[in-house]
Amino acid sequence: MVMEYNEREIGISATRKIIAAINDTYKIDYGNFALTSFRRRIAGFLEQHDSLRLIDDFVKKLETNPQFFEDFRVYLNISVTEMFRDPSFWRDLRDIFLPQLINKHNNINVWMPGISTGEELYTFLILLHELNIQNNVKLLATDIHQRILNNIGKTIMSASKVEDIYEANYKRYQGTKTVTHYLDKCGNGYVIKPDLLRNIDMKIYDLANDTTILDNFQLIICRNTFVSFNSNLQGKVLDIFIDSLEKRGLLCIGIKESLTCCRNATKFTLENEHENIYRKIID
Amino acid sequence: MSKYKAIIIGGSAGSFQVVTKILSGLKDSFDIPIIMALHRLKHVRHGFVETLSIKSKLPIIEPNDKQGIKKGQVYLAPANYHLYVELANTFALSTEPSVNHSRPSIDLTFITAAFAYKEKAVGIILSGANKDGAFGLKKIKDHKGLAIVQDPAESQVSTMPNSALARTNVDHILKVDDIIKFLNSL
Repeated sequence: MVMEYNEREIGISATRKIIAAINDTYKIDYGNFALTSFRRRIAGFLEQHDSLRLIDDFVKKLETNPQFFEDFRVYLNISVTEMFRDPSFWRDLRDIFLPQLINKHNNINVWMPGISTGEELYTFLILLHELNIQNNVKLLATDIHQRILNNIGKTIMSASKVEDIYEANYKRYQGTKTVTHYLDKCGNGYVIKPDLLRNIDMKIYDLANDTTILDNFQLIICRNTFVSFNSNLQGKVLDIFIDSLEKRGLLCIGIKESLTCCRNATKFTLENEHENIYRKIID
Repeated sequence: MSKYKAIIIGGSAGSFQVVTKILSGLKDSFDIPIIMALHRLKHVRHGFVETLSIKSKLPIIEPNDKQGIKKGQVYLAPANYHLYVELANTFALSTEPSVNHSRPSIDLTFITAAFAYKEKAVGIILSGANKDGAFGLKKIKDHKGLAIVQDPAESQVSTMPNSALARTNVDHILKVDDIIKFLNSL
């Protein structure tokens, strides 16, 4: 059978079987991931593993081969985005919110969970550099797996994406240089300049399964990670954010993400409607 | 009450006027949700809904992630996201890579709607410049839904309708005026 991109349709009962097997074997819960995205991810992963025609074979391999499960886990959590996606968001952060925060606190703590392939992280680092406040910001970058963290700074971004999409975004952000000013040529593409990556604290943190509260952030940037979760899990992650933010701290989520489905959304006001920046109001 | 749960419309180049015509031609009491995936500039977030709303009889919104799907409402896939239909009759958004060079991709909205609504989905492919939507319409048909294509002879750009026709034995090939009549009869 010829498959169209990842168009093998993974049924609901197969999906449940996979979730149950992972939960039983590894105590990791995917039951609250957004179903359609999750099913598409499974299909995409299976496309790379041609020999696994039957769901039962796949389940068995997940259960008996921890290395294979790790591969699957990393695959599920990788999502490529764009540098300077939503230029006006980064513009407002640069022109309004970061100056306000630095003015008030002098030094701030920022958490970027789910950094994945790093495009949002790199964008933020460039922004800090251009404001010349990189020494006033203590930045924690997290994702679910060491392998993902290890690839930060190493994954090559394709030349066409950088030169077409990222540069166009950067122009709309009204930057004073170019994106490639901050990148090194590498093979057929670019990597971020290593200098920009100094002083970042990188840690493993799994939003879906960890419950540890991290301390006292003035700003959390977590854009387009919530789309992978259902409303239950969004609410649970929001609890972590609420406790990890200091009073009146800011939470940035994706432009079309929303907290309105979360039971604990009342602890925030929507500070900037266009760019979806929320402020914590209850301590 | 109609036996259909949603009308899913896909289009790109040349479909804007067609969509406007359809939305202004529907009867006031039309209450099957309409879900539209139209190719659009990814960096232009505002203006599209506002422009479509001028002539539409029904309210149009770009849904947020996890928003519920309601009767009498028209939904437009937002810029730079894919729009999925979930089984719980809600939307989910996705930032997975572009499909057919498009985000939103018509195929992804159609495929997910086909899975969620099965025989209760109506898919319509309008004028457009690439093959996005052809596979999605086939999926709607595979799940026993209804497949409609705008008459290529009438389409401003016929690549999209022709690609859909090449893939699927559709139920109807209709001119825009007949699409409106058909929808009003559901």
